[in-house]
Amino acid sequence: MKEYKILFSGTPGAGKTTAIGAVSEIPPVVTDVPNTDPGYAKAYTTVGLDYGQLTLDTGDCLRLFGTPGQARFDFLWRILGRNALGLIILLDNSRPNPLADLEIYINGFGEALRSMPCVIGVGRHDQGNTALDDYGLWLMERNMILPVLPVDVRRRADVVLLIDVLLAELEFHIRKGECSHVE
Amino acid sequence: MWKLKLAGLSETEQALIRSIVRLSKDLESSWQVVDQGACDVVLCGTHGPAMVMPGVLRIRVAEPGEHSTEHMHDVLERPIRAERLIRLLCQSAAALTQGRASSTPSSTPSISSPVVAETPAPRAMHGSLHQVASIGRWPPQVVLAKNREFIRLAVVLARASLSVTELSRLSGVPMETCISFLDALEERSLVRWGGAEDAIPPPPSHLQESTEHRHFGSGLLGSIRRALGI
Repeated sequence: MKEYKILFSGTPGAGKTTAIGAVSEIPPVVTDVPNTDPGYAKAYTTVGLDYGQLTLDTGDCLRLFGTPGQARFDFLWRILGRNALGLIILLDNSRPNPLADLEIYINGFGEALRSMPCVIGVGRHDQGNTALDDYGLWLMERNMILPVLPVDVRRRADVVLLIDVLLAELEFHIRKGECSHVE
Repeated sequence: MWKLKLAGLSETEQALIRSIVRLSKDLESSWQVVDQGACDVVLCGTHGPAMVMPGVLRIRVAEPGEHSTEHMHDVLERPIRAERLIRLLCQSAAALTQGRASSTPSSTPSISSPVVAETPAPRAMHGSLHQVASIGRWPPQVVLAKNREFIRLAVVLARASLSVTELSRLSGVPMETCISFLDALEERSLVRWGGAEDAIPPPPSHLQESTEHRHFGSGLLGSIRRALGI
């Protein structure tokens, strides 16, 4: 049996645990503890990692990992990112400065993003002062083009679309022979 | 009945053209101006589509002196005059009739010379089908509108400069949809056009044919999609 993984990262409270739960065939394994950080309006927060999985019809296993969102855990992002098929960054548009949040994850995964497909899902996109298209412009200023899609992680279809886009990116990587990170 | 679509023209010009088409007694065949759906001829202004579907004629509306003389047959000069528009539409109808009679799937009728089998496609269409497109940013939501095919096209175009043919082949999305997508980008000046020399080289043949890669591509990605119910 072969194992593959997709990584979910992003702002605390953006819904990584919920997104994994929306598509996982098992109840997500979570490592949440009561939140003591007043910067994030949530009762519990992930301190280790979240885990879900899908068994493929080939008998292989797709593992879905959610990273803790806080930047102090960025060492864990890089470890989990090794050999991942791709990365989904979930952001919360209702936060004070979601583009600054995006910068944390773009920088945190920096080198890995050169070869790893990545999709950005923006939650609560109808709230806050940042337009969805501002993310694309922000990335353009950094010479990056990454898919940016609105998402409601409570809706399975939205999470599936994020993964589907990630797979489309991966498909193109494969066609161009850029999938060296995949063992 | 032939269908004429107007693109990138002012409301005044559109009203004028509609009136000419509706009232003229000199048109040798029946014409209808359509807003949506398939058409036979696109009459486009400066901000009209850069390309059209194969088999559809494109006539450009241009300022006097803006066009080169050798392509007068594809140009309707401003100010729009009824007799000139009618002559172009009659030529278009003849070219389209000949083109369909020849039933060559890949051939494109030409206004200037209606014998399709012996003439190349009009320069604008021929050129744009062979030009490569690229984007500098992720398209705005108004273009994507949660359209899965458009999103897929954006993913591919974000990674490479491609002709519409290559875009269709690599994305697996029908050519017609690719053109609609590029038109939507073109309307917002979000697509850059370059020559064939700007295209990315095709994937190395050993990667295209490698059993391992082929298995990985169709096997793993397909099985993930099936597991997700896509």
